[in-house]
Amino acid sequence: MGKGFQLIGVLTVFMAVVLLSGCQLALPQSTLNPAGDVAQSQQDLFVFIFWIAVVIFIGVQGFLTIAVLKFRARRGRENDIPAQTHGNTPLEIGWTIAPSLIVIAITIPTVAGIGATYDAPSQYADDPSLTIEVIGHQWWWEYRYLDEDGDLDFITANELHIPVDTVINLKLSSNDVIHSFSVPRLAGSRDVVPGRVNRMWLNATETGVYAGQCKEFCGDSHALMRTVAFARTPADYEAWAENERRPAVNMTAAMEAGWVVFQENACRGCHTIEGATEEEYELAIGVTGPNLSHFGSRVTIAANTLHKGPADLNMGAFFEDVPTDPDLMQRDPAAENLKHWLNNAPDVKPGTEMPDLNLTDQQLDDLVFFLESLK
Amino acid sequence: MAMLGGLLERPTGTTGIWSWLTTIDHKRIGTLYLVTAFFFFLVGGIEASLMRLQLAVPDSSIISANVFSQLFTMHALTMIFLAIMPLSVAFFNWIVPLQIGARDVAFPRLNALSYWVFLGGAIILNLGWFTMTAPAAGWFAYANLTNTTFSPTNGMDFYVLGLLVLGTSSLLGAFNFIVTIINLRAPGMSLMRMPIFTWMAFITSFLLALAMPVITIGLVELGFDRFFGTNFFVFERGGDVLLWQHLFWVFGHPEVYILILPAMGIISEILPTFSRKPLFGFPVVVFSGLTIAFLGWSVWAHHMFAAGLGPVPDAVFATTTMAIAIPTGVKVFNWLATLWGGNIQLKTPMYFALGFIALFTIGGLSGMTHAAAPSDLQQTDTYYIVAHLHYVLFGGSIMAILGGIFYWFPKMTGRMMSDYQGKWSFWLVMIGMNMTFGPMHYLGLVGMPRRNFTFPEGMGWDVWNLVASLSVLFMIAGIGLFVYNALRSARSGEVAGDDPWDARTLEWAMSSPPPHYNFAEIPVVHGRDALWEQKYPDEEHAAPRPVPAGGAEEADEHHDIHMPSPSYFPFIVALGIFLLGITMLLYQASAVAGYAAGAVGLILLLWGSYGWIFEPTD
Repeated sequence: MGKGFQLIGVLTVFMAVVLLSGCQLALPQSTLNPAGDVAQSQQDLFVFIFWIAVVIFIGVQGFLTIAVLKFRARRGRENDIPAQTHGNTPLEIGWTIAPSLIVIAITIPTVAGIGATYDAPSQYADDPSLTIEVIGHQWWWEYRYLDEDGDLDFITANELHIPVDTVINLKLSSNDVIHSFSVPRLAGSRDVVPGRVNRMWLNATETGVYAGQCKEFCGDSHALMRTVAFARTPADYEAWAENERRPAVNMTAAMEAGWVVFQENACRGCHTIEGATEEEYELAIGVTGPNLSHFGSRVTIAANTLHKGPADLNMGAFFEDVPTDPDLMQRDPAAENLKHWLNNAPDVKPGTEMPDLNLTDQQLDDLVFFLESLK
Repeated sequence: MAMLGGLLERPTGTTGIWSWLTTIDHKRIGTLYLVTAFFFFLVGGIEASLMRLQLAVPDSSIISANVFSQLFTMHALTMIFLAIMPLSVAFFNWIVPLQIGARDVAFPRLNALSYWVFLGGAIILNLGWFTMTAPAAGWFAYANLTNTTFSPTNGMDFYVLGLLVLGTSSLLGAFNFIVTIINLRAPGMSLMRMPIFTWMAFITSFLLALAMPVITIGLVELGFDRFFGTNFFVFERGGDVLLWQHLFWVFGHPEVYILILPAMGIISEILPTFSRKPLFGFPVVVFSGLTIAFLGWSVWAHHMFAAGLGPVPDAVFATTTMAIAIPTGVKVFNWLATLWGGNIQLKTPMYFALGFIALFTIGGLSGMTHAAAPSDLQQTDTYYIVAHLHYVLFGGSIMAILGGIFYWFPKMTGRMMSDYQGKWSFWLVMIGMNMTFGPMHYLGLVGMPRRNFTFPEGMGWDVWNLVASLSVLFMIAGIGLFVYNALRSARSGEVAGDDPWDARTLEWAMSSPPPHYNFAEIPVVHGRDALWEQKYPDEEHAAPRPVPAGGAEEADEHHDIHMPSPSYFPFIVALGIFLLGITMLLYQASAVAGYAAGAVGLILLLWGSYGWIFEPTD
């Protein structure tokens, strides 16, 4: 009977893969490769239970295999009647107590760890902290950074920049349906529920670029509601934040053709560009779509559905290549991905409110130049 | 009065389509359930295969995002409500009356009504495929994605109405089996002498009777929100989207046990039969089943660990969820102890039962890792959960059901399925199942979320998605061979005889297939494993008795056994319920059609019920 052996073989391979994979492949969204304390504690709990499960697994499958091998009917003795054992009370009490003890052993660290998925435990009291409001939209993320007084500091979208070794408190709410925010290498998910403000915290213990995405099904393009977190040194983060706080760059003559395309196609009805004066980028005050004041400094498009690198670079390779300072990233000079998105957004993201603009090549070039100038 | 009911005389045919439409024989209804549910099992399998086709490679665009959403929603609904549940009910119908020594269920016409209402609900749920607007918000249908703003097609209407109709069917069946099992047991069959499968059917029926009303409330509220503009789940106007989640999972978690307890019952029959040894610790297995069913009501919010209920609810529900591992573990240990010391006959049903233990154990162990709430926050809504639930529902329920079909096939048809082909089926399904769902553990742990119509290249997910997709071919081959085996064997399989497995319970005491009235003479039960103790009276303390307790060979002497005649009315009432079920759907297309369907449906329902009540007995 090879059943038990076959299963054990298959499972051994999986276990080996699970254990080895963290250090061999680029896994930008893995739960097994933590870069933050929350994800680390979640992985620790998983691994603890995993090894208990491995022991039980080997015990049960081993016993099953041995029982079948040892007691299978021998040729010519198929009709023998074995002893008609009905039970064994001490044995049954024993195997009720044994799983009870295992369950208690797992429940204690579980219950102890639950509070720490909501708020940072007291040992982080002296760490610097930052509060960010996360607002889920079909299908993109709005990030509203708060200052120390709890007032709005600046708004950005889809790319979350955080300083390392800082307690990041997230306040989660939704503009439409339920979403779920997660960046697995930093922390497990918490749902983003309309009508409620949920909370979670995370920190990054090492600089890096981490992938995340919405985990609660939220409509057709749920799979394309992704995000990316840049964990940066405090100095790098502060430089980036300082730029975000500024209004968009002043319009130059070269940008004007793109600005015309932007206006003529009603982009301004959904997107905000914060000008230095009221006249500049007049009426680009829409809030249905992401704030574009610093679109040029971002490296991803359409909630990380596409990136601004070369079009033939796949997403995994992009995460491997992208530096923690987005300004240093090599952008595709032809901007193929960006043009694809701008020209026909529903083709990239089914169901998106951004229409199929069907622009001419010249219009596309102008619009790309305009948007990419908004550093 | 009797005149009106008697407008339709009781039908008398025993062959042809009308005999099936009017049958109230539990065995024929069981066959209807089995064939219908197996058909939907294949439909659900096709839906799953299409999804695996789409996900075989990254950035694939074979299937659109919207169609993919419809596929995963309908795959779950189909497998849960139209395949596994009714397959279990098929066994309840076929086996429970035989096991307890009854001539039929307590309410034979109600039993027929359950089936026809089920079929109506199944059709309503699938109507969306004709316009490619099937439900597309997931089987869990979280508010507020389901309201008319975010689900503007009529897909969610099919969901609401189809499930309401299906729930009616489940309730009818549940009450019928509760009454049957309490009242119609053979003399001497105390509850603790009742076969274990019947026990699990009994417990499952209570779960159904208690769980269905909860989802019904949720569905009525959702229907009102959609059809009449109420605010139950409209947060902008004071509704609460989490209300739906609570209602859904208060139903949804007991539902999980509704899906697995009958399967546990099936393998708890197969293991003793093929070990030629009683079920080890019978009372403990029964008590574990009861404990699982009871605790099943206290764990619903473990589906909502990410919802942000707060640390205290999370801790409570994590603890109660862990507690379920104890009775589940006890069951597994008792099954293993049943094998130990036996004389194990490695026939196909036993293969499936052993496969159940091996696979269900894996599903249970992965379950522990997401009972731990902090760990679950990483795993929830990833492929790790997809792997877990398929090890439990495919490796558990489906393996047991396939084993059960193989085991009781000779009783149902009088012929054996091919053991050789059966073993091939087992290995193909076993390999395919492990190679498809096994890698999903890994995919989830490295961050691949579920319900994604596509995934980007290079995230470390490419290889295992391809492996998972290709391995579906093994399952298709295995299930295909199983179907072929069943169809061929039903016509030309080896003749089975009354008791081909030398089994232990009363259904094997009569001819195969059993006569219409089951037992010529209702047996008197003197112990657990009633048939075994009759066959082998020298064993232990069994009372020595002659074996033939009733069967076809004595049929001619028993012309006076009164069995209720077939009836048109269950089908008429079910047709009325079906028409009422689609009234709101038609109304939205055309008010006249809606009123017409509603009026005709109501007339059929009232007339059918009236005729039912006053129907002459012969």
